Order: sequence, then structure tokens, then C-alpha cells
Amino acid sequence: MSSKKKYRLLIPDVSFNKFEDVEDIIDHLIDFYPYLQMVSETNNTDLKNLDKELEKLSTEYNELCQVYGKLMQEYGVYNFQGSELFTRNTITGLKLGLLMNKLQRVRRIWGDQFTLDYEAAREIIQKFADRYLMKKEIEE
Amino acid sequence: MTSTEKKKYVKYELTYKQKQKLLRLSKKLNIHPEELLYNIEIFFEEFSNFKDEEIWEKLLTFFNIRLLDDKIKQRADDIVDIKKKTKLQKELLSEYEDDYLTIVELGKSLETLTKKGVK
Repeated sequence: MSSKKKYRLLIPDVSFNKFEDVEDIIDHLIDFYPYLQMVSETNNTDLKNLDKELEKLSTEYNELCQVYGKLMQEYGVYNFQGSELFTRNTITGLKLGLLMNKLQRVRRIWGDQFTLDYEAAREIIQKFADRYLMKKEIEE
Repeated sequence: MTSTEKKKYVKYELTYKQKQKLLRLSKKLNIHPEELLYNIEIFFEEFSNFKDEEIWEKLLTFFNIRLLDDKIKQRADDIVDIKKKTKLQKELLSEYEDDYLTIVELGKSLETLTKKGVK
């Protein structure tokens, strides 16, 4: 599609002359394009009491938006707390990594004279390293 | 079309902004721009048959109602969606908290162990 291409409309002069600001009308028609075809299915009775319906729907929409806004806020708080805790665990996990290094060094020196289950400890550390030190898992 | 009914047409060229909007719409709906224009022309054809003086105002209201209707449906979906996300986030919060306690506990036992070992 060439960007220089010009787009033209042929408008019956009867329609054209009804409008004061054709540019504005065309703007609307492009915006409301998905609904244009509904017009031919519409009869005159559908076009009565429109104002009332619009008012009713506006109220309904505003209420929904308010509910949604509150829920978004609530989610925002939880999401913030979640990120904080995640970061805290990451930092704690990093220290744990250092401890793990020490643990391995000490084990090399002292052999099996530990009361701690080395394998279990290593597994737990690996689990947290995967979760908090790798990229954040996709929350689905 | 009989010669007595022959219609006259005015040529209108889309402004730059309108052209941009048209191309965006074409991309979104996956319909060729010329087809979009053709359908708009059809609308004008139908429109020329309306006798009602306030028809445009009524149609605008009609369009706005349809648009609001769609927006309401969308918002209702958004609400269901955000509720799900909040529930999940809450669950994650308690998981993170549990993990933290475990990590700290493990850290403590490793630390005392290391100290004993180093002594």
C-alpha cells in the first residue's frame, strides 16, 4: 500500500448537501465503521427513545468503570507486595548461595561429620535458586 | 437507473488523518481500504433516502449506543480477568512468604553449621 495513494469517496450530492461539516461526518463514519451495516437493519422504531437508552447505558458503563478501577487498585497493591516479597526472596536467596559455597567448602574439610542432611539442603537451595535467581516465572 | 433519477456525486478526498485512521482500521479488520470506502459510500447512498431531518443526530446516538454496548461487554470481561489476576497474586503472596521463612530457616541452620565447622 503506497503511502502516497489518495483515497476518495463518491458521495451523492443529496447527502453531501445535508451536512455542514462533511469532514467531521467522515471522521465519525470511520470511527463507527463496525456499526454502519447495522443501520440498514434498523427501522424507525429503533431510532426512538435513543436518548434514554444512551443515558441508561452510560450510567451502567460508568458504574462498571468504577468497579473496575477499584479492582485494579486492589490488584496493584497485591502486585506491589508480590514484587517486594519476590525481591526480598531473591536477595535472601543470593545470601543462601554464598552459604552454600561455605557449606561445600566446610564439607570438603570435615567430611561427613555433619548432622545436617547435605543432599536435602542442596535440593532446597536449588529449588529456591531456580525460582528466585533465574528469570521470574510467567505467572499463569 | 433512469435518466430522470440520475444522481449527482461529489468527490471527497480523505484528509491525511482520515487516511491514517482508514489504514489502521483496514489492518485491524483485515479488510482492504477500498472496500471500507465502498461500504461508507453505500452508507451515504442509504442515507440519501432518509427523509427525517434529524436523522444524523439520531444515527450518531445509535452508533454511540452500540459502541457503549461493546465497551460494557469489554469492561465486564476486564473485571472477570482482573479478579482472576488478583486471586493468583494473593496465592503467590502466601507462597513467597512461606518460601521466605524456609529460606531464612535454612540459612540459619547453615550458618551455625558453618561456624561450628570453621572453629
